[in-house]
Amino acid sequence: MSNDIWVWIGAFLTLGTYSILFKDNPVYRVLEALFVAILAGHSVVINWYNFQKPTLTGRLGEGKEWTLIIPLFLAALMYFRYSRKYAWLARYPMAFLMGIGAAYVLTKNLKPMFLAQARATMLPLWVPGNIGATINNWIVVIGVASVLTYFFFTIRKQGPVNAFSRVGRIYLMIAFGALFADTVLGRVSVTLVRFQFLLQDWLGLGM
Amino acid sequence: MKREGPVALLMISGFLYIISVIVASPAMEPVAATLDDWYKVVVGFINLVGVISLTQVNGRAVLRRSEGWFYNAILLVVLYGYIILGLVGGLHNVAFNLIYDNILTPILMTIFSTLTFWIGSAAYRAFRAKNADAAILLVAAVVVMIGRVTLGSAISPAIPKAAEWILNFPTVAGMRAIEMSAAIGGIVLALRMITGLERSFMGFD
Repeated sequence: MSNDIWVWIGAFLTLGTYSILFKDNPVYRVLEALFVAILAGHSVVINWYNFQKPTLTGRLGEGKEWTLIIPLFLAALMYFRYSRKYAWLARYPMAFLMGIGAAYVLTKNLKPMFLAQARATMLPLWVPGNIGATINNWIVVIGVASVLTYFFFTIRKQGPVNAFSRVGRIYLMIAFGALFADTVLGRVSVTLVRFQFLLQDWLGLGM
Repeated sequence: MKREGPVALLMISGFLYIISVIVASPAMEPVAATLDDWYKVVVGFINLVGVISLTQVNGRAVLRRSEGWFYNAILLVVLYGYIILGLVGGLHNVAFNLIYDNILTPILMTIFSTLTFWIGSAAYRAFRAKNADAAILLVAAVVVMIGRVTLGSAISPAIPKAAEWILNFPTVAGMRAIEMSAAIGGIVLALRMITGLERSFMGFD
């Protein structure tokens, strides 16, 4: 067994967190509170040292970038959301963020998320001497077109359009199944790491 | 000021950003960079909103002695204790980093791994092959799951190949179409927002 106090604490925390699998209990609720508190506190401290302090003391204090007062003023308005009378002021920073966010989507997202994907789908439907690649290219092209048809809600889907959209649904089921399997495998890997910690690092088994 | 002001700010900042990106002029380049910078400053300074909300919700529970108020009190004490520890001691403070590495990390990893068990029960519900769609989902998931571990190649070398094929072709096609659809949806939503048609995120109807 380990002689390291931190390994013992880690084992207690691991088993305490796993205890929720049995049922809700006081140990788990304490650990849950610890988790939220430390995570939130950590983000506050990291943000202060990496962002807020350099902005206030460096850029605004020494660099004299006076224009920063504008976004700082906007950020300060966000805290009015806690005032019943002046809560509407918090809409201003939200509006600014949404305006820039929307403009970013309109100017930067179209190319990688739509045009690049569409271009990648423009595959040759006949690859000379390679029947396997030909079939796979057909599968991708039909898949993208049929799933897009499935998500097309402007017209009522009837006849061949409906049949093609059903093909898209099959593609979606395969994609969801594969992604689900990938997620399960990822989680299982993390679980194995925790069990390895308990069995090897803590109990010293299999060393 | 309460309704039109925020919408005007949204439209002005949005259109200014778009113009500064689209118009290929050296005079407009700093505009986009400045707006980007301001965006980061605003985001960086509003993270305390979360801490204030946590304090409000948990403080209220403690003051009212609601059920389980003891856990809310622990949360508040640890939250402010950890913040003070970090702000006073600095980022390289030993205790600050020990708590992160030896308390937060094991809990975080274990919470992440408990999802394995919840996913297991979700899989049971999702994979009951009640109809053709569920059966397809089941087959794809089983092939990929078995094909990505050593068990798959031990059963048959064809299983890992089938798993790779499912991931590289039908899954790519499905996900690509989803991404393209999401892009169109995002662009439409952004257009509605920037033209002032979409205001629900500000609490308007």
